[in-house]
This record gives sequence, C-alpha cells and structure tokens, in this order.
Amino acid sequence: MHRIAEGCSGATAGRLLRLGGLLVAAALVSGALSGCAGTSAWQFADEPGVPVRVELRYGGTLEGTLVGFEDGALVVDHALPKSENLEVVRMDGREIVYVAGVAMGEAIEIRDFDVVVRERLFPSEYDDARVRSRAYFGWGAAVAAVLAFLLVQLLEEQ
Amino acid sequence: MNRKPIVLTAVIAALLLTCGCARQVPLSDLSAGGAVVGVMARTVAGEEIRGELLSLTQRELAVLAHYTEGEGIKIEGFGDARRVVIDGTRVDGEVVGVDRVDGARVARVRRTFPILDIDRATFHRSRQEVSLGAILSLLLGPSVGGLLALAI
Repeated sequence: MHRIAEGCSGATAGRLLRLGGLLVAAALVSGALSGCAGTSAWQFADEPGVPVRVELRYGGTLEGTLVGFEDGALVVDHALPKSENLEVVRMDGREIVYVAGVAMGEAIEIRDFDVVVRERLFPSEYDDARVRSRAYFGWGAAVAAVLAFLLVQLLEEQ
Repeated sequence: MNRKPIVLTAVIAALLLTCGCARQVPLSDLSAGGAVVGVMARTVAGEEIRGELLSLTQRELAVLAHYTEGEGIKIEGFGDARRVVIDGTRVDGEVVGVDRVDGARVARVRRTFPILDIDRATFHRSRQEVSLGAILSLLLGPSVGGLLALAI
C-alpha cells in the first residue's frame, strides 16, 4: 500500500505542478518579450529619468530621479512631503517650492501628500551621486506578492 | 515527499537572485559598475550627441556616442582605422564598434567632452530594463506570494 507523504496530497501535488508549469511559461514569455525590447539603435526610453541617490555635502541624502544636466548642475526630481514649512509660490509663470523660507526648486507636480520638486544640484553641493539600476523587485511587486498570498490562502480555506 | 522546503528554497533563491541584480553605480564610473544609462546631449557649439553615458564628473562627460550611417554621416575605414565622418568632418574619438541595426550601420564612438562644453543633457533608462522591470514585477510578485501561500 502506498503511503502518501504527510502534508502532501495528490491535489496539492497537482496544484504545484500546474503552478510550476505556469511559471515556466511565464519565464519563457518574459524572456521572449525582454528580447524584443531595445532592438533599435536608440535603446533607451524616450522619456528622461534615471533613479538616483545623491549624498549631499551637508550630510543629507537625496533620492529621486536624475532627469538631466543643465548649466553645470544635475537636475533631479524628488518628492517633498507637504508640511507647514512647505510653501508653493507662483513667480514669473513658474511655481517655486519654499521649505522654511528656502527656495528648493520648481514644483513639477503637486500631489495630495507631497510635491515633486525639480532641484538643481551643483558640484559644490554634493559628494557622490549613484544611479540605481536593475531594481526589478520593487514595492509594487511586494504588494502584489502579499495580495497573491492572501488570495491563495483564502482559496485553499474554501 | 515534503515539497514545502523545496518550494520555500526556490522562492528565497528567486528573491535573492532578483534583488541581487539591483545595484547602485557611481555616476563618475557607470561603465565599470554595469549600469546602462542613455544620454542625449547638446554642446555649446550646437553638436547633438546620442548614446550611452560612460561617466559624468565635475570635469568631463564621457559617452559612447551612436552614429547611424546615412544623411551626411559616413562610416569609413576598417579595423583600428575606422572613423566616422559627418559632412566631411571627422568625428573625434575612438570607434569602439560598428553594428548593423535594422539594416543600417551604427558606429559606437567613445568620446569625452569637457563639462564646460556641455550646454544641456538628459539621461534615459535602458528600454530593456524598463520593459523587463515591468514584466518581472507583474509576474514575480504574484508568483512569490502564491508559492509562499502553498508552501506554508
């Protein structure tokens, strides 16, 4: 008589096999799709913006999106949380963001809880700038993982 | 056979492999760190440059500029004597390679510009990284969550 391993029924084994098959198919699809990307001479996204982390000279760290380089300065977009100290003032057709009375940069987008500011950083203002690359598993994937976990648990209970 | 340890091991390995790909590379030496960043720049003299950013320091901007043959752009010579000529003027820099993309020849030239010669530039993520990131996030997240739920 065959003994079925504890905790591993035929139904569970079947589910695992199906899931494994789906994963293999997904890997093949993603590999094929990623191979299709970047086939022209210009292999880069049309929209500018590269995730960056800047070590500021006065000791802080700024994480944002490196948009470009202009007039000798790095142009970085980053989010500032809304607070009592933050003020957006319209001047010469532009919206300037002030924090505690200090001009931080131009407001690119004003959201519910924060403001995206475009700031210019000159070489005297930062020690190091590092580009973040290949960070595939981000917060979105983590949230999707938690949701999938809860969904599968719910389906198994039923 | 208890498959739970195997599934858990596979999930943790997949997470480590994926997260291990992430890196922070200094802007002053992108090529050594393996990060691929595109650059579109314009010099003070009005020259337009498109290619891959190699490094950006306080003194200079180094790029692997891309030149597609045609409309005044010629790729001449062979081997170490290869050169890119635009409207009769040779482009400064070392021709690193010549590829064929969509039927056209594209030369990659390593060029360095003093930072004061750069009027403005924009930086772009690799198209492959953008698309792969979206696909992996869409597939990996639910897969990891589902596998963990089955394993626990």
